[in-house]
Amino acid sequence: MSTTGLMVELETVTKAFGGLRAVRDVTFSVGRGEIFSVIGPNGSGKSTLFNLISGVLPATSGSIRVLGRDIRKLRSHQVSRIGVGRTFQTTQVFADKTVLENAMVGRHLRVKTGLWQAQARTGFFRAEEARHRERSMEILDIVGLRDHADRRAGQVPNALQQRVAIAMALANEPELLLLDEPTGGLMEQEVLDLMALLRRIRDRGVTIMLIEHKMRLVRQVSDRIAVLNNGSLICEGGPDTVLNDERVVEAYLGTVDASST
Amino acid sequence: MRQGSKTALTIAVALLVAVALPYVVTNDYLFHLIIMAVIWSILATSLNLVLGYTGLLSLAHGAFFGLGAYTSALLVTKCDWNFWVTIPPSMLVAAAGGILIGVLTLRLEGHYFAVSTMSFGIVVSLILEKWDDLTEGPRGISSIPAPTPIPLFGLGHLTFESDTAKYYLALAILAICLLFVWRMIHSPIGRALEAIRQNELLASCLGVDLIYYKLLAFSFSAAMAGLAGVIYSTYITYLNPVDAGLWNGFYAVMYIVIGGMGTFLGPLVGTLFLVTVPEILRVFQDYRLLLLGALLILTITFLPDGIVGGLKRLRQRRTVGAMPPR
Amino acid sequence: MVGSIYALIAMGVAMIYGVMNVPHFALGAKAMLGGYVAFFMTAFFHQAYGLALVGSIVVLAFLGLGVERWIFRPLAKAPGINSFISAFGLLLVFENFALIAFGTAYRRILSPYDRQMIHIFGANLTMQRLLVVIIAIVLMVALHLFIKYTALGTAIRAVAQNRRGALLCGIHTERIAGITMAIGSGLAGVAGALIGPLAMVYPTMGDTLIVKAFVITILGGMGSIIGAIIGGYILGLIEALGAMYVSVDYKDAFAFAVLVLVLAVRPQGLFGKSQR
Repeated sequence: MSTTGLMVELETVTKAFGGLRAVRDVTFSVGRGEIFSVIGPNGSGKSTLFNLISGVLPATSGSIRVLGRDIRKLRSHQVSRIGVGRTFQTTQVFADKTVLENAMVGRHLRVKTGLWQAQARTGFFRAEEARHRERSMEILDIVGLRDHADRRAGQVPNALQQRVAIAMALANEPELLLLDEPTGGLMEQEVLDLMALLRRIRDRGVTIMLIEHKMRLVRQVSDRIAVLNNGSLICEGGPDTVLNDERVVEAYLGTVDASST
Repeated sequence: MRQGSKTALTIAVALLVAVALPYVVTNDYLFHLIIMAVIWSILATSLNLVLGYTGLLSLAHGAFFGLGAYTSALLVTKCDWNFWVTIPPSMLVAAAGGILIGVLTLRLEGHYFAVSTMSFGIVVSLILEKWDDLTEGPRGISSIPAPTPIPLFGLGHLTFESDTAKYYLALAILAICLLFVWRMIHSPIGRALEAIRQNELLASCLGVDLIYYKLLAFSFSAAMAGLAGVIYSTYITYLNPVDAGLWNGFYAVMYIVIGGMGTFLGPLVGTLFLVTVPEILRVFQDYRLLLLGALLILTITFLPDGIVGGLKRLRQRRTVGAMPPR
Repeated sequence: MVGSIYALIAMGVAMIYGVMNVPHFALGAKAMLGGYVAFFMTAFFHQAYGLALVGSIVVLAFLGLGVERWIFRPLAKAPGINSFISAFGLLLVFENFALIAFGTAYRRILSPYDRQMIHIFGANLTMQRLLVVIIAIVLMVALHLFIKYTALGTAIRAVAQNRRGALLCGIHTERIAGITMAIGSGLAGVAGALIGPLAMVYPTMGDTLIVKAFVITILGGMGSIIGAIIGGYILGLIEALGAMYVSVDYKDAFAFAVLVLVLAVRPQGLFGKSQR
C-alpha cells in the first residue's frame, strides 16, 4: 500500500518516441477517492499518459508510482493486478460475446480456481463460477446494463458499449479507474447519465482519472484537474482555478469544442 | 432447459452411432478411414485449443504429433515397455517440445510466430530423420505392436489386436480430449484464452498474463497432439519421419479452418468431412490437394467461421427473427 | 550466389509485408512458377534465356496482380491469420497445379550461360552463377532507385509507413498494393528462372525457398528490404560455409539453427520492435 496515501505519483515523467516527446517532464499526484481529470488540446499527450500509468507503454524517464508501487518495469497485466482498470479512447469490447460474458472476462484477476478444478468441476469451482456470475451482474447493475446482459456486446448501441467497457474495467474491483474519453459520441442526456455513474463509482471508493473534452462535465465532476499541452503539464488544481487560468485558456484558443460552455 | 436436454439427446445419439459403427460398417477400407478420422480429430482438437480459441497459428503440431508417436514407438519396440506406460512420457516429450518452442516464439507477433513454429517443426523433423541411431532414420520403425493387453481381474484380458478394439480406443481418447477441451473452455481459463484471441491489448489490461496463458494452451495442446501420435503409432504399426513431419499439422489446420475455427465441433466436422469425402470422390484423387487449397481460400475468405460457424450464425438469425423484442 | 536467390525472394516477402501487411507464403511457389515459365520459354524459343527471364518477370507480375485483387484484397479487414491461411491455400493450389500440369519430373532449364566458364581470381565459375549474382544486384539497385526516386516508389513507401495517412493524401492504396504485389511476384519469378539452370525446376522447389525467405525476414525485420537483402546473403554464406565445414546433410537446417539462436537471445528478432 502507498505510504503517502496517494493513488498515482508521477515525477518528471517523460515519454519519447524517437525524437518526438509525447510527454515531457510531467509531475503530479492523484489522491484517494478523487475524480481527477486530465484535459488538453488534441495531441497533448493525454492518452499516452494513461498508457504510461496503466503499463501499456514504458516511460522513457522519470518515476511512476501507482498505489505506492513503482511500475516502471511492470507490464500491463501486472499493473492491472495492482488495482488499476481502464478503458480506451476507441471503445474496446469483445463484440462476439454477451455483455455479461464481457464482464465475466473482466473479473479475471478475481478468479481463484485453477485448471484442475475446472476439469474436475469441483463444488468449489461451481460455487466460484456462480459467485462470479453474481458479481458480474451486480457490476452490470452499477453501470445500468442489467437488461442487456444477454445481448452480444457488438450489437449494443454505441453509448452502451462504452458502459460495457467500463463494466469490464470495474469487474476486477480496481482501486483506480482510468477512463479515456468516456463521453465520446454521447448525447446530452447520456453525458448526464455518465456523470451520475462516475459519482456512483467514486462513492464506492474507486479513484477515477478521466480524460475529457467536454468542459461542462469536467467542471462539474472533477475534484482536481491537470492540463497538458504539447506533452507538458501547464496547470493543475481545482476546477475554478484551472479553468480560469489564462495559460489554459490560451492553450485552447482556436480549439472550439461545441459542447463546452 | 429445453436447449440443454436437446444437446444431451444429440450427444447420446452421436455416442450411440459412434459405438455401433464397427458393426454397421462392413467395408474394411471405409472403417480404416473412420479410424484415421478419429485420430486426426484428436490432433485437430488439440490444435483448435491454440488456433481456434487462443488465436495462435501453430504450424508445428505435426512435429508434436511425431514426437509423441516416436517416443511411444521407440519405448515399446526398443525398450519393451508396456504400451500404456509409454503414454505419459510420450505426452511429456511432446509437451516439452511445445514449451521449448513456445518460450522461444510466443513473444513474436502473429506472422512471425507462425513461421517460427514451422521452422521448429522442420528442425524436429530433420532430427527425427537424421538421427539414425535413435530413430532408425528414413527406414522408420516397423512392427509396432498393438497396445498391451489389459488384465481384467478374473475375466481374462482386454486385447487390442483387432481394428475394432483400436477404434474404440481411439474413440475413447477422443472423447476424453473433447471433455478436457470443453471443460477448459467453459472456465475462466477458457475466457482468458478467447480474450487473447479477440483483443490482446484489452485482455492484458484486464490482467491476463499473455505469455503465461499462451504457453499454457500451447503446452497442453502439444501434449494432446502427442497423444494423437501415440494412438497413430499403435494403429498404423509403422512409423517413418514423414509421418512425424509437418504435413499432418498442416492438414489439421485446414480441417479446423474449414470445419470452424474457434468452435467446439468445428475440428470434428472438418476432419470427418475432409477425410472421408475425398476418398469417396476417388475420381479427383490427383486434384485432392489442389481442391483442398482452393477450398481453404474460399472458406477463409467467405466463411471464416467454417461450416459449424456458418451454421451457428444461420441459426442465430432465425431465432432472432422469431424472438419477440425485449 | 544462393544468397542472391534468397535475397530476391526475401525482398519480395518484405515488400509485400511492408505494404500490405500480408506474409505472402505462396511467394516461393511463385518462384517455382517463374522457373517453369522460363523453362517453357527456353524450350519454345530455343534458349533465348534473356527473353525467358523477362518472360518470367512479366507473367508472374500479372499473376501477382490477380492474386492481390482476388485473394488478398477481400481479406484486408480480417485478422492477420486469415491472410496467412489464404496464402497457404494458394501455395497448395500453385504447387499442385504445377504437379498436375507439369508432372513431378525435374526439369532443367537450358541456359547458354551454363556452359560458359569464366575465371575470376583463380576460381572457376560457370557464367550462370555469375549471371545470377549480377542480375540480382542489378534488380536490387533498380528497385532501390525506383523506390527512392520515383513518384510511385514514394507512394509505396508512404503506404508502407502509414496506410491511412497515405489514403488521406489521395494515394490509391489498392492500386499500390497491386503494384507492390506485382513487383514482389516478379522478383520471385525471376529468382526461380535464375536458379532453374543450376538447381532444376520442380513443383516443390518453392517450399524450402519460402521458409528460408521467411526466416530471413524474421531475422531482418519483416518490412525491411535492406534486412531481407543482407539476411539473404548472410544465409547463403552460412549455408555454403556450413556445407563445407560441418555437414552437407544438415545444410537446410542452418537457417533454423540461426533462428533458434537469435530468438533465444532476442525474442523480438534482430530488427524487431522492442516491447519493453
